[in-house]
Amino acid sequence: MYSYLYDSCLSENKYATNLARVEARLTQLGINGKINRLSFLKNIRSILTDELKRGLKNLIIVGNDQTVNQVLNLAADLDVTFGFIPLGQPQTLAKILGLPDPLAACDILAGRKIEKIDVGLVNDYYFLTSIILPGEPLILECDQSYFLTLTSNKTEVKICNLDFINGEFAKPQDGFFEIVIKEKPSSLSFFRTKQIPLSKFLVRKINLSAKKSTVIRIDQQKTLKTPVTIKIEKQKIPFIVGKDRLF
Amino acid sequence: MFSNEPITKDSIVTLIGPSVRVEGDLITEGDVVVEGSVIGNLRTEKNLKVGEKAKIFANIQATNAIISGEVQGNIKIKEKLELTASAKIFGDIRTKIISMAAGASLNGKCLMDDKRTKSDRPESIRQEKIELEDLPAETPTPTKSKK
Repeated sequence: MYSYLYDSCLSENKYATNLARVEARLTQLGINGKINRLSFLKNIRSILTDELKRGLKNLIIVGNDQTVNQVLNLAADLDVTFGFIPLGQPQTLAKILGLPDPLAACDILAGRKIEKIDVGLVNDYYFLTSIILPGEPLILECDQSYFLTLTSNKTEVKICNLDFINGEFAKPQDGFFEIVIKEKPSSLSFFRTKQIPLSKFLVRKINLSAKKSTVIRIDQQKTLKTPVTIKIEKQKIPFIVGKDRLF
Repeated sequence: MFSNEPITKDSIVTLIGPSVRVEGDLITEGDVVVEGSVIGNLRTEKNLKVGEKAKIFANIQATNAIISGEVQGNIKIKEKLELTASAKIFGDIRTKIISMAAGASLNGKCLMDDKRTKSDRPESIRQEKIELEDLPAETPTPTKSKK
């Protein structure tokens, strides 16, 4: 049984044509189901509660990257299989999951190629792609066995689960985060051919603290303050993916 | 660099850049490249590369290693250890194969893990057994006075 969750932005006229095509295709494939639209009055939690009572097994998210992140944060613990039909921007996840366009995503849903992917947990908040840390003095305790100290203030730190790192892609099924530390490019770096130094670590658990409370950014949308504990939940989320996925 | 499995971009699991300090026990299964500093213990199942400006204050264990920086600690390498001209080691080394470039500095013992044994010294009837003495301390060469 399929249940579809539409992002609130899809009620705009510019998505009407594509949405109609998607719904027609889903009907042709025989995988149409109940449609729930997110709105000011109807939030994800209430929809999920109602759908679970109806026997929810397959939750298909229709929207952009942020829609997926919001839904997964609340639904990661549920015993359901997730799918995604990309509509709207940004669409980095669609490329990662091998979903080239909305109509192709419908066919991929029918194919039901399922892969279990890692998901991160920062305090009580699930996240899928990455966490960005500010370039301030931070202490990262990794796997309760070693500490990382940044000796430069001009650094960018990213903790990746399902995201691109310096043109490469972090593996989302290995049970590890990739901590990537880069030096922020200065104004003169355009003229230099020297590569900006990069540090990379594979870890399962991070205790993050700072001398003063620091804000971290999760999945490009949510913010939390330190101290936080970040850990990986290996292969927690079953997701319907395409054959052109990046993992 | 390493005869069988060179460090490649894909095989690097841990990369410690110049602006990063690691304190504690860093134990990993993949290749490690150190350009920053490490304090504690560093162990990998694969290859280790220590850059010229890296400083390691730790005991090291790896399968192969190429060291160009400073290491204060004991080093145990299963296969091959290469010390480049800028390497400075303050500690003991234990390895199967060692390669030391001219200019490398080693302050410690070096034990080889290969199976080769030393030859038996033949009996000599013409000369008594010579006991090797410690090298004398350097004494300043007296300068000749001008007449």
